[in-house]
Amino acid sequence: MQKLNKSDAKQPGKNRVLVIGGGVGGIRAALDLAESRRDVLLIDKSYTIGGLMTQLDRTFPTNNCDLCTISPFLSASAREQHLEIKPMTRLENLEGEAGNFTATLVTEPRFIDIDKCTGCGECIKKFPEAVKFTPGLDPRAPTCMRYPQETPYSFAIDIEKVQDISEIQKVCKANAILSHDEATETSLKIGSVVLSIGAELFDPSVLDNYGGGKYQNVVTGLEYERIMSASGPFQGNLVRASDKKRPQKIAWIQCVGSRGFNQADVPYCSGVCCMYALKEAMVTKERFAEDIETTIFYMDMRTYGKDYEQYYNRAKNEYNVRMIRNRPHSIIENPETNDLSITYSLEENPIHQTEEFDMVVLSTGFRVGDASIDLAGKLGIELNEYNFAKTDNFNSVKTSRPGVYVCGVYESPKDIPETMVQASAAATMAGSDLPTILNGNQAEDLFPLERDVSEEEVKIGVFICDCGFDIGGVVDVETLVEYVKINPDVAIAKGVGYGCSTESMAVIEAQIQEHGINRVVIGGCSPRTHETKFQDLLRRVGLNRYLVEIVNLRDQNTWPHMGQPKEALEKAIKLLQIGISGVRKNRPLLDNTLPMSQNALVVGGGITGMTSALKLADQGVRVYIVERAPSLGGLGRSVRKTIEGENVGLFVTDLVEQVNAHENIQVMVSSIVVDHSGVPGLFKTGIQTGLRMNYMQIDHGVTILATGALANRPNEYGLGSLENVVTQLEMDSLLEDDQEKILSMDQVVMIQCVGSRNEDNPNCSRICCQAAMKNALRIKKINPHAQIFVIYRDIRTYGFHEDYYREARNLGVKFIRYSLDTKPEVREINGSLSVCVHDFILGQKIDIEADCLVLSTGLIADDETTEDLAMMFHLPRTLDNYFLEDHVKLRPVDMALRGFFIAGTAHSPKTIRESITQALAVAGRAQTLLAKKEINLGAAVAKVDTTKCASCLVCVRACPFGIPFINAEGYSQIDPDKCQGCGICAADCPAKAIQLMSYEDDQILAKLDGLFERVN
Amino acid sequence: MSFQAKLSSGGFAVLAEMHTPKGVDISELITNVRYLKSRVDGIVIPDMDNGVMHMSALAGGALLRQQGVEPLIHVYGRDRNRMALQGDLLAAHVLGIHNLLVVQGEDMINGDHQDATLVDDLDETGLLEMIQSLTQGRDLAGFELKGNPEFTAGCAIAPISDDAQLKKEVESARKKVDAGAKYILLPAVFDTVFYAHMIEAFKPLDVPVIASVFLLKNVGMARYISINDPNSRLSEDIIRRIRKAKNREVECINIAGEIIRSIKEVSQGIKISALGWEDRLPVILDSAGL
Repeated sequence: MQKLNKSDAKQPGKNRVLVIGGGVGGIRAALDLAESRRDVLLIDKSYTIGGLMTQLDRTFPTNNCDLCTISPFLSASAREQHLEIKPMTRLENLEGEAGNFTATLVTEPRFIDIDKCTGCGECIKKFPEAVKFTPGLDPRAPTCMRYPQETPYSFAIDIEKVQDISEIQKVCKANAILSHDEATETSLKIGSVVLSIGAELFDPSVLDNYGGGKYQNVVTGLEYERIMSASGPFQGNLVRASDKKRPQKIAWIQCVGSRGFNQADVPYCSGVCCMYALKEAMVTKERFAEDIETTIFYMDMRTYGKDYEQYYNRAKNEYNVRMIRNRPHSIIENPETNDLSITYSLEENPIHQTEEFDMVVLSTGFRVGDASIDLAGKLGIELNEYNFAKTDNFNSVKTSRPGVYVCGVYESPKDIPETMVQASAAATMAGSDLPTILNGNQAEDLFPLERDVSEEEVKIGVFICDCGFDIGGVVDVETLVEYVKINPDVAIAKGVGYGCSTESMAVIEAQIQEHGINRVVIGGCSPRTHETKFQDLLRRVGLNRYLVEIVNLRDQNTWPHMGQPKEALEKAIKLLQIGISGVRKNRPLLDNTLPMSQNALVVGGGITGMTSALKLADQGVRVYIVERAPSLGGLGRSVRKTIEGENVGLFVTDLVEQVNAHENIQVMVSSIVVDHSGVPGLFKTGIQTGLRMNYMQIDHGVTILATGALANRPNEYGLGSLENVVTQLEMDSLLEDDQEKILSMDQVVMIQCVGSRNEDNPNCSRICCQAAMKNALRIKKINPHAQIFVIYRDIRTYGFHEDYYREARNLGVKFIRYSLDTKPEVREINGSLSVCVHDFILGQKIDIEADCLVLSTGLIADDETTEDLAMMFHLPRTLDNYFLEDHVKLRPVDMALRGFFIAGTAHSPKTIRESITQALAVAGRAQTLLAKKEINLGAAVAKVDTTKCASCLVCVRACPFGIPFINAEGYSQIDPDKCQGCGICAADCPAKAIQLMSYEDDQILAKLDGLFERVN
Repeated sequence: MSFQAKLSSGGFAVLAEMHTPKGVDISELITNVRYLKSRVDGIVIPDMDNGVMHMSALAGGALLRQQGVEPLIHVYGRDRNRMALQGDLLAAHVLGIHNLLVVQGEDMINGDHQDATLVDDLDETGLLEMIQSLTQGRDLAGFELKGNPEFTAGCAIAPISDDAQLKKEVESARKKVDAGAKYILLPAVFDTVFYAHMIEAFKPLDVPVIASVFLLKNVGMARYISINDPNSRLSEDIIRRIRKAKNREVECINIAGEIIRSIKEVSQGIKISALGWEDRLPVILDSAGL
């Protein structure tokens, strides 16, 4: 049965968070909390964690497979001592209140001891029907696990399908199969809950018009992902189910089951389908054949995320994805060919035409399942009308029950980056219900004392991964092992499958201990992604982490030489020989450490910056908030109402008061950043304040960029020159301040995408469609007789904002589409405004008199400021001058430079509510860093041998960072805290007085010896 | 040659500005002073500038004297009454500080002790009169001093927006000169043509006019100044120039250097502020050819 270890009820639970749901959101929240030294219990009803993302083939907008980016984080690691995972577990009951809940959990029987199971797969080979391995989509049972780096690395037995358990037990060499196992109920104390249970995907078989589930060649978006996936049903061959032939014409139909009125439809927008359809269409051409014709039938193309509009443009212009603005009524299958015909009409040509496709993908969206509704009842949280968790209007992760937070799709439909942001935000909120721990005890050293290997004979252990097909499919690992064994000093050589999996790591550890290994070579993938993992492995067995050498057999050999297995084998041998020869000279090194500054610098005092500052300050962090304006508030001060009807002014005033009153926050208004230096964890930044320009330097461990964006004011459509031409922001104020004026308006025209989605500013400003709905509805409320015309390109009321769009239409707001070729024209005739626009439906130009023309101008990046800050902080920016995060998908609020985080509209345009979510998220991400008391600078720094140094100044001149200097004794001195480890000085030093630690000359020479040596 | 001698000889006086530390670590100040020692005629030490508590200028001045540099310290009325002021000035003399700059106490809005009690016992003219009285051997209550202090006191001019205000400031400066000011310090302006015009306007007062320049550090700072301090006449051209520069910091130093070169033609001295970047003062002097 499942073992209960850390979470036994005897442990005090006040510092523990329960995370429900092990998809990417739940994992992110759990890791954030664990890294902030909070105890976390992550439960999932499935027998493995990973959720929906692990089933996707590739993800937009990078078109990369992100599984390898996230899988190392999924498997257990010593770094996550605070994190415990319980699969097959559900919440039964939650009593108590925030900070002091009692949760009742039920764990279903697995019939496999996960501590013993090695995931060898013997059981599933013999009893495929009785062993659970992967959910629905994959008919290729039982050949693969859901994904190879599964957590936990273990199977589960479906006891209902077992006739005789002892038969199965016989095949298990690990004795992991249990004859008796039963559901266990656990009761435990927790401080707060993070709910990340996602949603289900709409099942189109309930619709009778598209043939989903009926026609073989009609698939859902997710099924299409599986078809394209290398671990999918057709081994990564793009074929249609009916005849296993590659389709030549594929169509996507958007909004299947979403944005509709019919019985099976939901009215909201699922938010992600436009992007995934574009991705699938592009990847189809990219990976399979350029001549496959891809067509997307859509209503509005909703590419509202950061840089998503450019992705859309790429799909249209570079990949020639055909876009048809039409929602087809039905699909008809040709019973003989299984081809599918779709009848549609074009906007500019109302005549119906019918076209045949080989395959049709239905872009289905998110639905809340019954189990989620049931769980919400047990948690006692309110749901919205669509059964998603109802959350606070200014805090998207806060449910109706204090202490219970939600993230991801269960809050509202959203994509992975936004889920990641909300997950970190929910972790922050959940952490704030626990006692503050920042000043608490330092985490104990997890690793045993290091063994002194200086007197030992060199004993090398070589472990070679097959990485599934990636290495093992090109070179034979066993041949490599046999070859390696004959190298001198090699005490053990072994193939280890997926070396980074929990099981293999355990094997390696055991081998090191058994054979007294003191040098380790891993033949696997890139040290960039996996070196730390193996270094930690060494530390666990009491070896210094610099005694391992990673040989990159995959990225540098089997990937590039996939078609030349013979040469690849030769090269693999050479690479391993280099590693073995080099590792002999590896010496234990001491990492340089610095004390971590526990202060945070928040640049920008708008809603985002203030929210982050408050959250961090509440946790005991000293926060400096720098704002260049004379008072806090930012752009939020000029917004009056949110679309939900909340009073922004009151909210901002309250925030400002809280920030000013907080004892841990130092507010620096009229202040600008003027210089910056230091390392992550110990930055030093110069701030200048006021007209007298008082200069002050502050120390801080982390920096949060919340510098916002500017309200755009392009010189278009008479803005600034014609009377009664205003922006949505100005209309927002007018609605609050001058109702008389609103009452006097008979006709109001709004133009969308002004200054956005054009050549100068190719991206979508995201907020303008909802701003137009918000203001149109408010105008209608004050003056129901006013005629409102919204001239738009695509209405992008994603998620539940769609409700406001529908309401506007119901109230008679008229929507007229335009394209870049048919931009509306604004004229002033005898003092009154007239807007001329081409109406696609009427097929002619129409003139609309306007008492007021409202332009949806959106936001633009503050180029001058972001450029200035980017130069000082050494940070990258996007082409449209926003800050560029580290990973658009998986690390959306972290900058590539450790210790820097980005939130709010400095990241990309977004609503106040979305900005607040990011602000909460960065506060959490920052805490993961601040939870450490020391900064590890590594050991790879340049060291000067003073007996050889001739003080020739070559190093002083060569160093691109200006670190070496000639000290009082007359020798070059290199501060290890500042050295970047680039090695330029070591290479240039004519006296060979400088060595770069862990890349010393004798080590490099030993590697070269290995390369040219013949062992046999 | 002392600062005073330089002024009376009609030479060009070069002053740098340096702050005392907030704390007792004087190493940075001393290091920066040493680099400048042979290159300036004096170093100005502001006192509680911007309403931020620092080590008092009196100690700063004494430290400078120990380093062999001539100090000029700020005198202002915001934080001290006439008793404390006079006492400190007598102390200043015996510590070797003989140059004073009478300034207006900065508003406390951006200060770090906003609850501090404001004294404002004497205004700038009052301070100058007090200094004059002390040098003549009597305190403000009319009692005789045992030994007269010697001071060269100057006065500072407020930022100038236009000709009307310029005229007003000249008049106000005239009163200060009458009260004993021996030199005039003008605020920093980036428009050298207007600067020459300003200096010209103060010529009739017949005391040396010293100009000010400060170092821009980046575009953010230049933008802040251009928006919030229109009197500094920082043009869009300068901001563009910094943005376009390959090395922005070097460009900022060059801008300061160029302004100094230009003003040198028309003024009797220059005060250079690096605002926390005092280690860059030597390169500014290089750039200015001083």
